[in-house]
Amino acid sequence: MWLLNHSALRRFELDQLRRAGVTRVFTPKRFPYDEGNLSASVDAALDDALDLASEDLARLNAQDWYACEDAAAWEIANRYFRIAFIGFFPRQIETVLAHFDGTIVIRVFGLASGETYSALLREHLSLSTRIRLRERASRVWFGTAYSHLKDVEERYFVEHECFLPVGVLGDDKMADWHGSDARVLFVCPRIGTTPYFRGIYDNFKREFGHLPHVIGGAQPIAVPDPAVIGYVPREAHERNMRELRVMYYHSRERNHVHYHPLEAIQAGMPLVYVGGGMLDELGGRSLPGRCRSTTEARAKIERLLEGDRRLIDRIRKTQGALLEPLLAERCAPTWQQGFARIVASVKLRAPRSARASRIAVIVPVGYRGGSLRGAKLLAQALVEGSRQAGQPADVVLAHLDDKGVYTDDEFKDLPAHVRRRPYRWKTLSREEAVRALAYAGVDANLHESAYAIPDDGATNFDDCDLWLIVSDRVSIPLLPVKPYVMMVYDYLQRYEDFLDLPTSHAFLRAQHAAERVLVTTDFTYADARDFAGLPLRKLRRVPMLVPQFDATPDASATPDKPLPPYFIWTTNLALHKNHHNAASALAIYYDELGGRWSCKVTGVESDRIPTSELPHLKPVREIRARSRGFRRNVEFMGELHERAYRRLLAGGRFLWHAGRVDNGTFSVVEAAHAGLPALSSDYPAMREIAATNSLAIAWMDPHDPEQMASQLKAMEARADALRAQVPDSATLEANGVERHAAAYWREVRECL
Amino acid sequence: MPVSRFGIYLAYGATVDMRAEGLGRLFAALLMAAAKRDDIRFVIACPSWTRESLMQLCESEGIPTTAFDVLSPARKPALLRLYEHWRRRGRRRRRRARWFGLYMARAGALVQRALFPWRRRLITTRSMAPVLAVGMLVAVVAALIVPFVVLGSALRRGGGRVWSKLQKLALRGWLAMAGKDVRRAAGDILAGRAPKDVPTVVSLYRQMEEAELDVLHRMIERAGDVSAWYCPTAFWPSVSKLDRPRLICVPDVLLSDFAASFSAIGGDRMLETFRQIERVIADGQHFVTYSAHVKNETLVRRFGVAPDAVDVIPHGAVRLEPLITIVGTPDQRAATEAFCHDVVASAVRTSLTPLRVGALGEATRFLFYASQFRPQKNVVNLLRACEHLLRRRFVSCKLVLTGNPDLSPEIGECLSRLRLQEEVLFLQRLSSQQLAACYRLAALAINPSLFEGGLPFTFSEAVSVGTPAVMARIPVTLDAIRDEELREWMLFDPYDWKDMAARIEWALANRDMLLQRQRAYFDTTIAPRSWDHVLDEHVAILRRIGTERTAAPA
Repeated sequence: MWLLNHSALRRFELDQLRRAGVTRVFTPKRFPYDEGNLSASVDAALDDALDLASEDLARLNAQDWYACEDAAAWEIANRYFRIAFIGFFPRQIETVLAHFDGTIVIRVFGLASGETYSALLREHLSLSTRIRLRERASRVWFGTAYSHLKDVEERYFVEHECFLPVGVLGDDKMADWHGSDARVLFVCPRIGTTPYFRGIYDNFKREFGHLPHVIGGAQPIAVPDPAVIGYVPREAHERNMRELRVMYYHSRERNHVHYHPLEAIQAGMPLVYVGGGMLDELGGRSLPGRCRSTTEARAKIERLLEGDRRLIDRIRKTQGALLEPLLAERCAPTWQQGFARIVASVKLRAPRSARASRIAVIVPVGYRGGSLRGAKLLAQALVEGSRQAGQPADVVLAHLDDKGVYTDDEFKDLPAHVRRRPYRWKTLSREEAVRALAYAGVDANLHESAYAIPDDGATNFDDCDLWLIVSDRVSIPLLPVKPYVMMVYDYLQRYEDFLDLPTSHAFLRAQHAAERVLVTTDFTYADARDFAGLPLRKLRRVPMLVPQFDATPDASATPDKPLPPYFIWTTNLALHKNHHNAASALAIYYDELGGRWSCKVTGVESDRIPTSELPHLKPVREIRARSRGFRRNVEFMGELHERAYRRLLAGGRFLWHAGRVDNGTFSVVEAAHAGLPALSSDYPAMREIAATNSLAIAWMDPHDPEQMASQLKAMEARADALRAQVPDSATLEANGVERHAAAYWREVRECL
Repeated sequence: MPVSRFGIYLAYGATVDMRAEGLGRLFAALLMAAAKRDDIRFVIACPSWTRESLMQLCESEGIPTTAFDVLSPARKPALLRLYEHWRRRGRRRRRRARWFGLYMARAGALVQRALFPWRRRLITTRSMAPVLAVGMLVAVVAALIVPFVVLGSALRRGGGRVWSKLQKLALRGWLAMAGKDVRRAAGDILAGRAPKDVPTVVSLYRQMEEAELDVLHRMIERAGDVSAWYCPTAFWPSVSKLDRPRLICVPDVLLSDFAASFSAIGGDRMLETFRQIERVIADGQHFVTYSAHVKNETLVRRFGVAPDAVDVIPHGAVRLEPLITIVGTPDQRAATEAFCHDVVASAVRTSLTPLRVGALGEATRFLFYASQFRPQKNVVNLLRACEHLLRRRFVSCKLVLTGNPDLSPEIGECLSRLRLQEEVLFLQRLSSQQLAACYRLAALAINPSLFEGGLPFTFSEAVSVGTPAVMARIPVTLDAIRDEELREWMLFDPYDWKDMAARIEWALANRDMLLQRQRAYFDTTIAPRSWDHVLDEHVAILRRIGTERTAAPA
């Protein structure tokens, strides 16, 4: 597969491949349409020779091979092709490394001085890709266009370098040149779109603008300068090469030479160039066209424009030496030798590891209740999903090693095939982090002063292939030693004032460093895209994993006589639970609207609500003190055991969810399992939960206590009707782990 | 063909960058139109300190500098040059330090390389003799050199102190001769106070400015073939001294329309500016403005100008798409979008410091309001609307503004109070291309301004690059947008932030439909009026008044 679209390069390299006996070469039929790709084109001439099934070929041709993640296309590619030539495009490198089983040749043509490919790999490739580069080193090559490019590179690059010179094709047209047009030709594309070229243009105008000149090069955006001719048709271009008096080449880059000065030499046009660049390396140090400075260049150009025949002839007669090392026929043997090395390495390909993947599902803080349940469901989904895909994986659930937070009871419901592993967070200094990465063989830039790593007292989860962090609550950057995925449930800090900016920024940084961020609602997806600014290629929406609740009524707890009617308010101490408005609504409901149903308040630490000193809970105390109805009818029960809670649900009339905003609560699903409808705050994530689970929910505005109270009163008349709409168990169980596990495994698998 | 010469009078202050001024962009549009004409030629008269900014404006807008003549004193006043030199000292010091550092590093590396073989020999030798010999040599050399090094270092330190003391003495002496006021002013400036806030400095500057303008006026007098002069603003009372027909542009007089709001800004300096505007209007004879509303309400009713002394020339359409549309690829739309992403990302990197990761992601949905922060710009109501949209209506999008929040404490306070620090980004000093790219990528452009001199540029700037706009229902906009249904779709009550929020929410949900409608209106009604038309109308007025002789006011 020759996965590039540069027209001139394609002509040369396909010819070389043909000479090497490679008759079947696939070339891409799409490429990124950006302003830097104006030299690109598509060539379908070799498709017939591929001899592929037409639907396979169609699938290959439909892909964008610069960022292809189509599994079926890669399956076809792996079936038919052994070698892939690609460009140094981070996205392309990532996708090809992730999906292609054959040998990869990354073509490189030189960078501006001060830059190296090694540094760019570190900066632009994800951690998982860099790890793959290391693990699959035996089938990665850097195909350098110039032999000296490796001189500034690091060991990995040098050890995998293969010199594949780029030859210049085309006929010698020296004799055709006339030079009747006394102007300088300067090639500077993309003036209006790239500051780099704009700077070159400005410099040229400053130094040479007073001389008659023409500026060539494709201009994606028009430049208001009559001297800038932009793209011209072939005939006009050939005329320019034939008639313009001289070309000036400005570049002092050691590691790169543009095509146009070579084209000028081929056309016989005198080339005046500044020394210190690649042309010196090609043998141009002492040629008459070489200049030590722009002043000298200006002087020579003026002479040429005045018609200095001797200088013209001297330059023309000698400049062919620059082209010599680059002629296609001259480069071919070296190219063939390099390619032979690559071909030989294809036979030495190492088999893929058959070891089962191991994934750590890490709970980064002391979550309990619904959040811990979510982590367990995630672990279960990965086990189930990997099993369904025929790629069974080991899953470890990692939690804080803190007996004050977690007892063994918390994990009784953990599936047997998910292992538990407690850990503590350990902080490494930057120096320690540098050493740790060196020992681990991971290449990464470290900018922070400290890094965190989960310390399990053994391998720090180094035995795992991937970490899945449940939530983004990582305030110190993770040591980039293992790729990780984040499960982010919400961006509450966008809506509620509980998190300081530095901490919020730390959480966001952790997300940006992740391989992927998973969210479960469209609401959180929008927050991730807009608030966190995550790129879409990293962001994935996965289905909600709805817990399976046991709705079996507890026969032993049937009360002797029916209880007065009540509804259940599930809550906790968190700011976004909207206690003030809820309490106000209850007071109005009882004192002004004559509410008849009492309210049972449950949830983690909910019994502390009336006495808590937290600022956002103080109003509840005040309301309770002044509202008789509230005092008589509202009972704060605290956290109930599962059985007790089920009993409570069974006897209730509806569940009341009064929180302002979050990623939604499954308490309404649990209530539905018990046949209970719900009255809920109206916000997007709750609407999504209701729609996904076909729930019977009445809605209220959590910012308006009056409206909340009137909805509570309305439920006295509506609850029975809503109860009839509560879905049956089969419907409620449709969104369990079994159904959605594959989606989770798919996302995680792509990061392994 | 005979060429008519008209003058453009500029009297910007010494530190003004025309590229950052709204007037600058209007001015650039006129010059671009004039560059295409063979029958007219503009002569731009400006102080010496404005010439560089003028050339920078031309470069950034692509205006050929050969398209007009410049009348300007050849050199800046010496004291101004000295002041600018002093301001650049930090940069010079850093540059020197950087070069010195590079030089020392290189020199050190060369020395290391030269010594390396000898060091290696010393480390690996088995014989004691070379070690002893080198040791003795080092001791002798040290004994000889160290005293000189110590003396040299002491001299350098002492010399540095002496030089510094001499500089301070010279400065003190000069300041003593210059007077107590100047001494106090210098002290204030050295202590970090902005020169424009130091009364003595302002006074000295005014004298310098007056002298500069006197020179400029003499040059204008000598340019006898310029039949009439155009002044793009009423801020410069010196224009009244021109003994030539003058056309004064009065875009607006915001100080009178927002009297209380502006009273808290700029102190008495602003009052003095207002007095200057009053004088210019009182002394003027020919005026031009952008809308009938400003003509009637501001010039005629508020300042008593005769209606037939005022012409109305509405703006031309501002089209930004040539700055960002990529041609030459099979998919122009995709290429343009990719390019705009790069441009905006670059603007974010340079504008936001410190840069928070993901502040404006490649897919982040955002609203865009391009404007400086002034009381009439109604930014606080816009912030209220955005907060409501985010936290009550759960409409997810950020807000990108182009003003400087440091100059507006009210906006900073509102931002904090509404907790929108993470939702609002300030991209300042955008180039025209960056502005175009921001418009292109925005979900919606907004203009909540309570007052503008003409149809806000927002409409044509946004729609020309394919982004719909919602705007305040103000007279100048109603004047330009005559379609009733389109008004319903795109206009809101600027005094009612809830109405603003509702309009934004509706526009986001119906973006394509709104854009289609606006695009059609733009193509048929707004776009046909180009800056060539605007120039024609200005030239017609200048020709008309050029036949009159006007005496300077007593």
